[in-house]
Amino acid sequence: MQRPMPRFDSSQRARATGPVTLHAPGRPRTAGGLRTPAAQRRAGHQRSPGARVSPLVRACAWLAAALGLLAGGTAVSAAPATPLGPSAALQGGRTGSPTVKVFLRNATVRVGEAAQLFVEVDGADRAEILSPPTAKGLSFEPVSGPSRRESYVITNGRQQRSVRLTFSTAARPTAKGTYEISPVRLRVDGREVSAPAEPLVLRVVEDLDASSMLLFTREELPKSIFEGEPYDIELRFGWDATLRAASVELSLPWWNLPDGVLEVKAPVGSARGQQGIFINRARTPEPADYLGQLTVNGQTFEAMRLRRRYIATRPGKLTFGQSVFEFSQLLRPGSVFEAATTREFYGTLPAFELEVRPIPEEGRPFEWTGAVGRFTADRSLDRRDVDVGDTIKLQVVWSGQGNLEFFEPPDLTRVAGFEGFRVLGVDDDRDPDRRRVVYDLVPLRAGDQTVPAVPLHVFDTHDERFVRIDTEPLTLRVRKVDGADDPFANLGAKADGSEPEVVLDIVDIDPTPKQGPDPAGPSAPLAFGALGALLVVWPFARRAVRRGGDPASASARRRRTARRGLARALQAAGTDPWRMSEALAEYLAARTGEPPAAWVGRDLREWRATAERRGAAGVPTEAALQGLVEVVRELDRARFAADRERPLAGQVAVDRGRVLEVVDALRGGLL
Amino acid sequence: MNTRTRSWRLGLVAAALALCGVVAPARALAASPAVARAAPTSPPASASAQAVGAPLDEGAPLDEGAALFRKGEFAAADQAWRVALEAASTARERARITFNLGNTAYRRGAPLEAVGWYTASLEYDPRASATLKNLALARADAGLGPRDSGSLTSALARAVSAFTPAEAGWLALFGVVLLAAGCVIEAVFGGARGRLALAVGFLLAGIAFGPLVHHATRLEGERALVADTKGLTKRAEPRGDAKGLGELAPGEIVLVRDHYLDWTRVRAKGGEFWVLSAGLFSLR
Repeated sequence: MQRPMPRFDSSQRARATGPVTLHAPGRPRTAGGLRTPAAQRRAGHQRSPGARVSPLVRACAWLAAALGLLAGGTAVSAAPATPLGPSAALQGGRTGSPTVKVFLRNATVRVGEAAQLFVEVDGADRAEILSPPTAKGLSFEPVSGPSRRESYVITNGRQQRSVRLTFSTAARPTAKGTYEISPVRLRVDGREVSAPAEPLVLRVVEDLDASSMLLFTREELPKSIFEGEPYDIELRFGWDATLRAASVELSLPWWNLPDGVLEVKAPVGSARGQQGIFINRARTPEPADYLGQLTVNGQTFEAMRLRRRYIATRPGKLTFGQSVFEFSQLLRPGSVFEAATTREFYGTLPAFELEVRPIPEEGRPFEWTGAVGRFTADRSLDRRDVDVGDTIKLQVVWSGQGNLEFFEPPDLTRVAGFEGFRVLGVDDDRDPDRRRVVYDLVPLRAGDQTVPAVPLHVFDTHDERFVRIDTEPLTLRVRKVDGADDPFANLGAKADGSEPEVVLDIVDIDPTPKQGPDPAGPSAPLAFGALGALLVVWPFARRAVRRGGDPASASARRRRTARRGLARALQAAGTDPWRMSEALAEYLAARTGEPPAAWVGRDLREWRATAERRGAAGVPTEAALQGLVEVVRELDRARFAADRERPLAGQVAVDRGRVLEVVDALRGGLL
Repeated sequence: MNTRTRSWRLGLVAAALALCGVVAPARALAASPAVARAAPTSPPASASAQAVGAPLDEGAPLDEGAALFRKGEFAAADQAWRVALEAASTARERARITFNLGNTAYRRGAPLEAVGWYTASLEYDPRASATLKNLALARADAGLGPRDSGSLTSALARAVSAFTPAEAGWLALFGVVLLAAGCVIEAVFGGARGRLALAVGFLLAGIAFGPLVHHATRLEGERALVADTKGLTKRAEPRGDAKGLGELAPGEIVLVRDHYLDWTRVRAKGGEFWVLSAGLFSLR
């Protein structure tokens, strides 16, 4: 039964070491991870000595200090007290002038543990580091700071001001021993000083507890490899299953690849999922496989694995420095009032070397295209019965241990036996575990044919010699098709493989003199003039056209579509005089911009006379209106001759055609 | 809306349609090479007789250069056509003669000179397919790259320069007609469709005016092609010891501004320079 990945108290760790994001199994992490407090400080959260207090406590201290200042007469300091610890102090400059103090937080640290060094300058307004500390075998991080702290002391109304500038840096020793740290040169208020007078001494010891509480091993590597041969570096690390983890981090000096080494995709990791691990205090985590609980020598560990695959591209010696596994045990969770309590363990892994040997020249075939390793080859065809000119796909798959991603696949146009095929293209799919190459081939001859073996020359790293790996030949039936003996006859190739002679020549002369004048065309001034005239005339013409109103207005659109609406309404009305009258009233209303009710029972002759008196344009003549008068009269007669429920259906003297004829005769004017 | 408004609308639409109907056939008539060719000297009957199977030149009025060319006397043909070129008065005839001169130069083994002649021919007949084909072949033989770089700018330049000035004028006028139609539709019908018609009219007019603008803004003067396979050194002064200011690439077309002894002042990219006249091929 699988055990789930260890769950950390993220809220506690967030307070102790910053936010942490955990991974679901199988999903790589993209941000967050497990990080020690020391690494967190190096990653941009470095604090002054003694500043390990919870934010709430610090805020309370500030508040108390402010209240004390207001009360008066009390010495106030805004910063926590200077930590005790081994230090070497130097009085820099003249008496009563600024002082410089250089000290280590801890004079003895464990391998992998951060050795923090502080430079404090008191009584100066300006200071800068001219030469940072150095030590043989130690690599210091860039100096950060200065952080500035000012304090005021008011005693009996007398005010005294003090200023402290603090620089800090850290080194992470990867080997035990004693290290001498050179003095630091500074410029303080314009004067150069050097401190301390005697070199600081740092003792680095092995973390004895780590050997019993941590698991940190490496898979064995061969003593030497060949150039181009892939190799895996696999680290297993873990912690005693009884410990509660706060953070996990690796310090791998060889992680940043040296020149001549390529990283390639490693095989898929653990089925239990992956978790992000910070390496070398990077800001983004690297995925590591979670292995679950492993029992080693009777002790159970929560184990993880970091596996990477590399290829050395040039001969020489590769050196891998000592690796450090940093594990932070959560002893007591933090709270609002105090930080979490943790304990750090540092497991180490000795440095090792790997020799990269060159590929021998002896016996190297001309056809060798860089393949190194031990491969097997397989092949397949997508179909075996084709016509001349059809495309077939020959798939060749090489698999095994080697640089499968990096060699050039064989060029079939140069391989003997492929003269009867034309290679149209190659689809190359690279994968760390296999190389798949699909050749698009066209058989050029009819009959039973054999797709020859595809050879690949490989340098076998086990036998240390060049070998040739051939695929098995395949048989193929190619049917003859009329006119398709040479499908590339028009494309620049012949069936026998030779290139046809392509002849290009110029088009012949034109011997006939051209008679007559050239076609004439409007000149540029004419064309531009026409354009200008149009643009000048158009606004006036538009205004004249639209004198009657906006043609896109609702009433104008209603007027334009009234005829179609009338035809549809009459079609639907059939011989019903009521509906015909309504349709006609609707039409007349649309044409005149009035409501349909205005045309119910209206005296048409009276309407015409009124419109004429008003001087309206488009008033129909008396004769033209006569037809409409008759139609309306007939519809009225038919309507009122019986009930609405029982109209004189089929007995109306006017039909749809007559109504449309009348209104068409009136169109163009008011109606 | 009254009857006067309605008649306005109808009148404007009718005018626009009439303009479209009249201008397009007129332009087609004027620009159609088939019609022009058939007009005074080449009766359709003889043209069809040529197409049936008789030798191409038989029956056609061969000029002197063509007769010499057929005999393989390319140098003499070249001379004859140069004389004919001086006498030619129409662009069509000059296009034909410069094309033939290009063929003569090509046959004489001077592909760069042929490039010059073909380029000159295209100045008169920009869309002549035979000339374009021969030019591509001559440029390849001369070691020059293709005339069209394939870029968008190059394609646009080719599009606007593919018309003769007369064609560009007709095209521009046609653009005015299209714009007028858009204006009429907008005025008469209004609304979103009217505005769309107006916008389309402006767009099409802009496109139609492109070739005319190209011709109108083109600098007048003699053009020359760099016909030296090594290119020409640009100098600030007409002296051999003057400082070299770079190279004019073979096949580049420049504008001739001045002459002094063996030197020609040309306008090219980057300003005006003096180059050796011997390396230039006039496209006039």
